[in-house]
Amino acid sequence: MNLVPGEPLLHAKSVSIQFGGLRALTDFNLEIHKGDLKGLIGPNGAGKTTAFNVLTGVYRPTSGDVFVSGNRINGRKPHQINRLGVARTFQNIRLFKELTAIDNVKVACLSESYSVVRRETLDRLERGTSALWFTNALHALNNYVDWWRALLLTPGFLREEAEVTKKAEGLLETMGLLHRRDEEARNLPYGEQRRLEIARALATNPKVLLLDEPAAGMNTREKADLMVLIRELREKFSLGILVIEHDMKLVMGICEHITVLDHGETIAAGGPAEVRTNPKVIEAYLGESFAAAHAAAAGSGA
Amino acid sequence: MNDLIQHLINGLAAGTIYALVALGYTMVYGVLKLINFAHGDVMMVGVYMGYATAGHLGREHQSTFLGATLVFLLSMAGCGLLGFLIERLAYRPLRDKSRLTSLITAIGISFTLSYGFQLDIGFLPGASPRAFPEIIKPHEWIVIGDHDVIIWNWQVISFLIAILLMLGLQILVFRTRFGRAMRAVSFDHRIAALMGIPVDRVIAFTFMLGSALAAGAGILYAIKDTAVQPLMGLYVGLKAFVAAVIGGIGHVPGAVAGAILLGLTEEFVVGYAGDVLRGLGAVLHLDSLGVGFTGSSWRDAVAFGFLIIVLLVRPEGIFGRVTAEKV
Repeated sequence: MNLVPGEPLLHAKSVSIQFGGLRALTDFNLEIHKGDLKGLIGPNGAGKTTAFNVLTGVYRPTSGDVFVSGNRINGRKPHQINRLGVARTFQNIRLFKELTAIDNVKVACLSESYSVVRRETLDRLERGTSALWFTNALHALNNYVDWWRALLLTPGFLREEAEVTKKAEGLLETMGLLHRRDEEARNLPYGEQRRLEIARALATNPKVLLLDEPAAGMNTREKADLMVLIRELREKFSLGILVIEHDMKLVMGICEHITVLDHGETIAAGGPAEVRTNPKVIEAYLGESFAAAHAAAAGSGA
Repeated sequence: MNDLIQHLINGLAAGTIYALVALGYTMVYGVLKLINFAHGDVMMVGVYMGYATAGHLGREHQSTFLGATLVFLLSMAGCGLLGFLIERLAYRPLRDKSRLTSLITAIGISFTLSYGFQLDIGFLPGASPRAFPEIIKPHEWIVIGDHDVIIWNWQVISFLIAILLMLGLQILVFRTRFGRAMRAVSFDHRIAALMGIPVDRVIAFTFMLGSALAAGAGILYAIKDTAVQPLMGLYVGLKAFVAAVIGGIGHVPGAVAGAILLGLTEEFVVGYAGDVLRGLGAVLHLDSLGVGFTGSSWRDAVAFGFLIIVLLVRPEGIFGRVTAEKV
């Protein structure tokens, strides 16, 4: 990976997206570097989740570009973008409900070593110019050999399975879920389901982690724990993290930089203190009249 | 008693063949939520591929172990390719359209294959049935009593092949990396993609796998039936589909159980329905109504009647899980 120092891991350059006549996101800019912990806030329907969907390849931007580690990803498939190092969680929990906790994580460990042609080689071929049928055939070969290895229970197969299981267990432990290892995801309490989603996202070895309302539905205590946890994850996995959150206290508490969206437009961006006092932000969140009163009060106070 | 054993054996042999075809329906439904109505016809094409391969090998070689293996492998590989092409050209472009669009396309492909193969141009075989070559020379493997119970060698061989293919599939789905990806796609393909799983590729491989299994099943069926004809895909496919629904569509062991249940039921209907009806007919004086008393003519009626009962009583199938719809 020819990572230029200082080049952002994830970079949105004046991204706009339009659904028919609706401009869901206008001129959106964002940079996530290694070690960043940034926030994305805004009222309901402001375009936060749309921004996540553009960054992860679910939507293709109408104009503007998205780069992951310097690779332009417009129009790339979500799984390719994930392979480049972007993983996410979901606002409405989207676990594989009928799989156990550990299987949910193992599913995302697909990137581990491949039997015949190495994963990195395949990724490079796919990014390069070589014909798609060729890489597909190599994948088919891998799957075929894999199948025989599973049928014959070769030592290599057992070792790899053990490695994947170990990795998944490690992630469950990090997220404090090891005691739920063999429970079906749908039977976990809400807060644990959210943490399991983070564990699953981490299993794809991301460089950037996008968290869509990770604290939704949690009580105050759980939220406080989560704040600590998110900071720990950043250190432990040397990630850049972007958080969408409704809870202002949580966002202000952990994020060093916050982007505020309203009706798809970026109305403010900066440090927590800066954003908190921005009249446009107050207006967006609390309404125009309140903002006017607030401004008047601030004016008379000065 | 001997009758009963014979019917059990025949039913099991037929059921395992249905099971292989039913697995194709259930796997594709699992990953795409699409009833691939062309599946039975892919099977029919596989049988013709086997027919052609055996023809090229000639009478001498086709019934050797190597020759028979070659017939199986080549038609399975050919059908895998056909399945891949159908998915790539017909279903993938419609993936984001409504599900009904794909369903109608599936019916279209089914008819294209089954009626296309009735043409008599080029390599196409024409409508008349042909004798399937004896790639397994039939002989009586086990005979009990004075030919009261006969187990043919091809029944044992086809049962074993079917069981092996199913075991292989079970291991593939539940133990390999690809199987894990396949299950993830079947739960939620959008999320699977965001977890780095190449959804298109998984779906394409699933089609190839299902089609290859269908080709294997088709050849076993042709050995049993000793004939091959372009419409065989329609009725065998429909039966296998019924089996998949009875077992709970999308559920792998369910498809196998449903198919074996269907195979046994059909066999028992052929064996005993005649007697039962004759008994009933005598009591109710049905002969005047012109009701047929041979069991075999009731076979399909019972198979589809069975489907209707399952759909009424337990629409999710025997093994299917009730999915609570969130309101």
